[in-house]
Amino acid sequence: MTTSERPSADLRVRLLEAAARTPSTRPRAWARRTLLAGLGAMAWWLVVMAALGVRVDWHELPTAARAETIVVLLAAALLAMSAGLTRGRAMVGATSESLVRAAWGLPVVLLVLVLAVDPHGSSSITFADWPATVWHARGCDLFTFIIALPLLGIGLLLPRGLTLSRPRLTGACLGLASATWAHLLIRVHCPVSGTWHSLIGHLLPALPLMGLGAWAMSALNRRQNAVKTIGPKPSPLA
Amino acid sequence: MARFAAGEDAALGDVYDLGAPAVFTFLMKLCRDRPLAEDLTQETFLRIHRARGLYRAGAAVLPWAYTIARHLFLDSVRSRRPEASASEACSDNADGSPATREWRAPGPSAEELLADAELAHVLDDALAKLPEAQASAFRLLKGEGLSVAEVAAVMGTTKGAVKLRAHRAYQALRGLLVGHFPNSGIIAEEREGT
Repeated sequence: MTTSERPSADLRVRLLEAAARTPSTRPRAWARRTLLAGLGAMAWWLVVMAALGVRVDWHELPTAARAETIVVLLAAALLAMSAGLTRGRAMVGATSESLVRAAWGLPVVLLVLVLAVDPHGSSSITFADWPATVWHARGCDLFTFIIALPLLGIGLLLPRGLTLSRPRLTGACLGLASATWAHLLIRVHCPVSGTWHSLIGHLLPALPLMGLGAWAMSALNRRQNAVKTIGPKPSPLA
Repeated sequence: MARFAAGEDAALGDVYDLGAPAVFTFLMKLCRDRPLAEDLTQETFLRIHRARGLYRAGAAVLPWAYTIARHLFLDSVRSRRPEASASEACSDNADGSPATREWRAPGPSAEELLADAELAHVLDDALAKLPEAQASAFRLLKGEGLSVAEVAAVMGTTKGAVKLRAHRAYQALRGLLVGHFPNSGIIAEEREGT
């Protein structure tokens, strides 16, 4: 397995000629993209935060549970984001192990958070029956999507130009990150209590957003990597 | 690569000189079609050229190039003959003649050259019969000398999966090569080792 072959000498010339005609990303493009995307995402998040505000009984909720919720949501969002946006040691994204851990492990952590830690206060709104719980969760679902979709869009555009080794998992991580940033805002704003409301209204939108991220990143990667300059050679008789 | 990423256009030639032989060899072994392998090699380095502003200082260039090359190969197989498997899709030249296999053996003597060429030829044929994922894992690990982590990055899988694929390829190759080299010392040693 030590044998090697060399391409023909004119391939180098052809490549240099083609490269001279092909536009490339400018130096430090990644740093500029990251800065712009970060500023854009932060601006959107802060605008929504200012518009929604904090629930009126926020200060009445148990301090430890509030702090734990915010810390876990922030950590989960940052971890999912870093897994989705790293270029990796080989410029092909995070390792499969990191992506799998983020895409499968973090939702479990968030589920445990919602089931065990999510703070509820005495003045929280609660719905006794199941239909009312589901009905009132739709507003939170909608808001989560509205907040998360621009964040997901920004995240999907950031690695364009890179050939990712696991585009679907990368997109799923970005979907989870955007959903978790939205979850954090909704959690601080929403006065409705109850585990089922938190599950359906706050956590559940992460699943379709992960699916959407996986599909969109895969489609973008496929479109970007489609062989454009190579294809079936035209027949001389055609 | 750092000079190229920093905007020095002329450094593309150096990047090509360092990486092209390995990438071309990898593609030749995948598709066994010299014109296609050259096209894909060119496209691989054009992709690197387009994305050079995204390069992270210190990142490994060769695994990056292998990843692009492998994606391009799989895409070209899908776009040309969607019903064909990756290993059989490019086995012939464009004119329909069997693909040529030009192996350069490092042995100094004619006998060693002949033996190496024969072994390489048989190995190449045997690898072509394996699933693409197993054959690529084996080639990148044993042929190109990448680490398990680098192969995992190239193939978009875990290190455990790479080891498993390489092991399966190794077992399959051993079975296939026993018929060709029944008295070979290598095969005998491996039999004793297992």
